[in-house]
Amino acid sequence: MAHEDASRKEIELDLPGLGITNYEIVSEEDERYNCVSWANRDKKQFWWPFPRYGTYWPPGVKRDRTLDAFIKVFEVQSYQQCDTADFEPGVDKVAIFVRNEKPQHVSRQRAEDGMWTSKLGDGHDIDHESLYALEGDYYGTVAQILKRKRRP
Amino acid sequence: MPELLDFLSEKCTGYHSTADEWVSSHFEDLHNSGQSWSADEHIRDYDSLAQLLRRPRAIRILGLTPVASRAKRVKLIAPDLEVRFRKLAEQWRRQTKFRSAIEDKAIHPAYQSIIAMGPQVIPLVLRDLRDSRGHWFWALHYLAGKDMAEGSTTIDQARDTWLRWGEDNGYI
Repeated sequence: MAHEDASRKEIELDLPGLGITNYEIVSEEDERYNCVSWANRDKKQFWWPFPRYGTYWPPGVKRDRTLDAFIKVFEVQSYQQCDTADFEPGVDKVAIFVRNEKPQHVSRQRAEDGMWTSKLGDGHDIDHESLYALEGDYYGTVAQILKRKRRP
Repeated sequence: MPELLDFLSEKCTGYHSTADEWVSSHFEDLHNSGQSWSADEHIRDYDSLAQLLRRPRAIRILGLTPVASRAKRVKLIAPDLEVRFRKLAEQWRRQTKFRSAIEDKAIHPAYQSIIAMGPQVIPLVLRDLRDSRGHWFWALHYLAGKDMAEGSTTIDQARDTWLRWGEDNGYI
């Protein structure tokens, strides 16, 4: 419990919006995968466009740290751009956060219950009720939402 | 003996063969007498100094941390260097933990300060990579002058490759 309290304190220091909403830590810290991996349900590879140091980036997508390249990562997996983060049963959504024109973070909304889930860099996975609780100086703001029908 | 430690951390990382007398006559007496140490005054023969750094007695007297290797060489780390590294590494971890961007982690001032410490810090970086993990590949690339993890497609692969290189080259 003390360990979890310390983790929450650390998280809320950088992401203060989480401190005033409901969220839950759901994993140990792990630097082997990141937010983009987690949005793609992959805990084995570190998805990032930087072309060295053990990173993975899907074939056919430019290794650029731009919003366009990040959108493409999801479009090649049948996601389509959409305008709302509202829950639609049976639909997976992802949200790309941008700060200073650079993607910083990606969250995913679960098709079954509408809960958002994020991997915080090298830190924990969290489930969070509010997508916008992550907005701020650290990750910037939501710049694009994409959706696709839940796959079996 | 801060001047000596500064000198050692700057100039010496190991090797050579015979120097037991040198250790006795210079370092132990000097240490016991409590005199201050001036590298320029007392060390005229850098080869001899490098030689003595392989001796357990010198290591004990100077309070250096030996790092043994598979290759049976020894590299030495001055305690003040390790303290500085630990402080910077902790600061870097704390302030970049929630970032996914490798390049953002690497341009953090604490990470850059570690790189600026030069190749003498390689054993500490590798030990941290081994014991606490973390994205040290950028730093190691620059410190070692080559990217041993080139072509790795996972963090585990990159980590294993660097740790193997560290063992083979006597850093850990």
